[in-house]
Amino acid sequence: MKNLIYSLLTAALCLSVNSVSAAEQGKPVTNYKEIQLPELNSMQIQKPERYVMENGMTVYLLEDHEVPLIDLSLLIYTGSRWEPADKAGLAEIIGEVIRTGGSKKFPGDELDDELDNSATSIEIGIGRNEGSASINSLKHNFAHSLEILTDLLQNPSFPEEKIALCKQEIAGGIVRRNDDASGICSREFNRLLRGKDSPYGHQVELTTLANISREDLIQFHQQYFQPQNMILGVWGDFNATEMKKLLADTLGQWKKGTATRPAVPGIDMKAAGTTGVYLVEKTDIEQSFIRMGHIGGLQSDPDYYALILLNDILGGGFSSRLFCHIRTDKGLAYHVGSSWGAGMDIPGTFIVSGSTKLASTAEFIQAAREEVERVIKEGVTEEELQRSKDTFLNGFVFEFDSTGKIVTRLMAYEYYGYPADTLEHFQENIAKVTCADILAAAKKHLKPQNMLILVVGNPEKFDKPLTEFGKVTPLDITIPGMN
Amino acid sequence: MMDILTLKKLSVAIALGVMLMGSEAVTVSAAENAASPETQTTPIDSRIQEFTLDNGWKFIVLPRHEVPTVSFYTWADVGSAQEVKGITGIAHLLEHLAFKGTSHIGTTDYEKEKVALEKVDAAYQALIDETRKGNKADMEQLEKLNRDFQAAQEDAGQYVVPNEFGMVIELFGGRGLNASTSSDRTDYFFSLPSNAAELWFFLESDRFYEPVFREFYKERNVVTEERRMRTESSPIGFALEELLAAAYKAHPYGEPTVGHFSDLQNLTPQNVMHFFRTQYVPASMTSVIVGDITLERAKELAKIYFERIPASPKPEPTRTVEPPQNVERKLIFHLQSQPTYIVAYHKPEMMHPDGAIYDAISSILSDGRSSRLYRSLVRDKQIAVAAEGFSGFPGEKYPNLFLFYAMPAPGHTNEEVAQAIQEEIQKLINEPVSEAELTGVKNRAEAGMLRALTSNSGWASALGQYQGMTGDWRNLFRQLDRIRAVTPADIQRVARETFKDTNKTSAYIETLTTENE
Repeated sequence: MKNLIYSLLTAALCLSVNSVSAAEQGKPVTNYKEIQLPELNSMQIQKPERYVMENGMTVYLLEDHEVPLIDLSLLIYTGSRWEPADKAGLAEIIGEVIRTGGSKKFPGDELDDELDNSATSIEIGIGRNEGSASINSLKHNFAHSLEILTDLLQNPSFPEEKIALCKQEIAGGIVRRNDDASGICSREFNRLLRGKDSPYGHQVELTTLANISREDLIQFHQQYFQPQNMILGVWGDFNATEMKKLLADTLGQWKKGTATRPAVPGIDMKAAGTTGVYLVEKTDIEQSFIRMGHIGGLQSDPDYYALILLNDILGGGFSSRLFCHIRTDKGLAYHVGSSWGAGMDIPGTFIVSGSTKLASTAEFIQAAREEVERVIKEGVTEEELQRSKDTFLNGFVFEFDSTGKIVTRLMAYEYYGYPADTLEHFQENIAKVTCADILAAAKKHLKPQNMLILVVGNPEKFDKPLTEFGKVTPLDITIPGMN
Repeated sequence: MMDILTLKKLSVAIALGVMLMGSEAVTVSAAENAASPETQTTPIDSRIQEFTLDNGWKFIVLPRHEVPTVSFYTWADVGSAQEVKGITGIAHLLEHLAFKGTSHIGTTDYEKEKVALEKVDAAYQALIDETRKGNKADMEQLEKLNRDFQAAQEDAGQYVVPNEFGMVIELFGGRGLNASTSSDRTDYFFSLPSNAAELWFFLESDRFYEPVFREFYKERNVVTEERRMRTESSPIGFALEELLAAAYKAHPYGEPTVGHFSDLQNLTPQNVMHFFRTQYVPASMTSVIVGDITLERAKELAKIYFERIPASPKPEPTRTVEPPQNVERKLIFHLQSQPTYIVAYHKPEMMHPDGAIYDAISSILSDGRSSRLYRSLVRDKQIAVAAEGFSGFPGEKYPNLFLFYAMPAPGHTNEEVAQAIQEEIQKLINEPVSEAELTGVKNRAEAGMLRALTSNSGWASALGQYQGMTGDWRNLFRQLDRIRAVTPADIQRVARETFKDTNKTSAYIETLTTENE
């Protein structure tokens, strides 16, 4: 792997060099094109060791002796997409209460003191698509921290009072969720496209919190927390042989279970087709927060590389079309951009987003839509494509600038079923994309006429009514169960 | 949970200032940077080198050759505290304009563009002169002048290569490009593959040598949008701006870094150029270079590129000192928002002998689930869903504020959380903190520094911030000694001196109801 990456790294940095760098003659250059690029210094790219423990837990190890720290990350095949919609919040509560409730041997309140005083962090969290656990610890505390984590994961107490506390903290977030206009916009956009009761759109409510019992926690935990359904990564200041023994004596002692990995629920196709204009009326803000887009694709799609280049040119960085035209040229927005959020195992979302003063709301939508339409019609120029490729390829070395990045990337590939060498093919996959590929991918994947448009703002002050863009459906964001 | 975290982050982001792009760039706070004395004797410390050019521009270089990348961090000792009435927001606007290019970058023909830009400014001035006539302004003339101004901008626009400055950095594989402005300073940073290091020397020197404020009037609008987003569309953003205005009657810390709306609407390129010439002198600048580069090469390139910038005297420091408050100030807001309570007390600047004591108090009150505020308000009393207290708002260079906030749990009130915070303050004053708590503070400071200093960019910003804020990057390594020296008696004394009602400004954000609309 090392040689392949190294040769690609050096091959990538082939910007046109017009002359000998003026700085070589002791004078400043006057054009960046005069800057000479010597060959990039070689680097030792470390390859983590991978093995599977007897109980089925996959392990990645990578030594890094720069500072006396050890980090651990554990991926767990679980997520809130597997919780029942009427018990939304269950997965999140489990993650939090495993830590705050602790175990019989390590009660949560005692852990609070012990961990903070020794500057150690042990956390467990369950998101939409994956569960995780982590340790960040000084080297000399690691063995003890691992003992704690092992016990918490296997024998959580789930005390009622910590469940209640966690519910109260979540409820605090629920009742505040409409205070933040930008948060409303991203949340409601996702729910419209994902289906509000689907595994990817359901959200925790005061009413769903009330449905969750300690029994539910115990059952969900038993079902999903099994060692054969976990991927472990450890990196930092240790000796691999000693670490293997330590892991074998702790997490390795956890008995293999019988559960298989849960099947990935598909997306709600009906919701995915949602189009039209939606409005959340909010009268206390001076900007409209806008999101436009539709369901996107997967990272495993053959068009993925063309699409990330396309997105970079359309709305990715400083030199993107949306940034240059809407922010720089028209001065309409501070925040504007697009993302081709390709998912790992379910389709992601294509989003154009930004915020602008109320009186330029329609102008912003119009301008943003025109950019998407233009890219479908005209594609991108050779110059834009080359620039975008250079951005990806010349900065490739940053994919390897920390041990943690290298380990967690491989863990994610394995979790989502991607080949371990996916990144090794990244450069060739980027390099071979042509303008024709991008045009074809744009035509196939971007649908400007079918974009869902969501605006959070005060319609009284808009420059034009949103009916300009289609039938407007007002969204009610009243929080169920809030008095 | 997510929403609470977002709000927390939001308030911290405002505390730290405003960015060029809304991104997740990390600003390392002083408390997180607290250093280990062991590090002082480790080889890495002796590898940190510094040199100052004849014009006064200071460089700090730390070679780290493990990965072929280099991180760059420039600290301009220029923040919104250098502003005066009428030009608020100018330091932040200048930060945005520093990405507009130079006579060499961002233009197809600078000679022609220069003439066109002068015409834009003349057209703008004519428009403003007519507008200022108010009721007596000739409407037809106004429309014509407005058309002329638009046409002049379009004419100048034909020579612009849009965002070439940022584009070139992306092209060479740069990562982490951003800049931020706070009341204390403006910083500029990105990382490059190490073979492209010369690009930074070219771009960074050129933008502070011959900056060109092209597309000025449009960028002014971008910054105005930033204000609308951060302050005028956010209950917390609005409340923090009001809180600062109430807490400071004299010192510029009371002014918003993003600027007042009317100032933003009226700033001119001449205002900004004057501010630039007087403030961005080499003696106010420090650049830190960390990564795969040798001291010799860094020095050679620094001389070639940065020595052309002429020396100029460093401007006078801010002279206004905030007088003792001597009166309690209380703000009550009625907003479309759930309740939030914020309370602030004046305290001394970062380098005051008591500086580390405040950091220790902050750590005891706010770090982790064992922190006093979380434990008392969230875990035990269950009257809040979040509660913290921290030092250094809105800056640290001058005497600043120690700020507490709490978000009441559903069904609980600002009065309840205010009362509970007051009880925690009384506890700090009346009872010595335990040795275990103080040990925790010290251990966390040590570990925090180790974590911050594992990447080139982490090193670069930490060294740059300590050099900029304290005048000596070595203070990064002395910070832990300062924290280690803190005693329980120190904490009681400082708490007693600081947390007094006559030194207090509080803000009650209450939910707007039909009665008080």
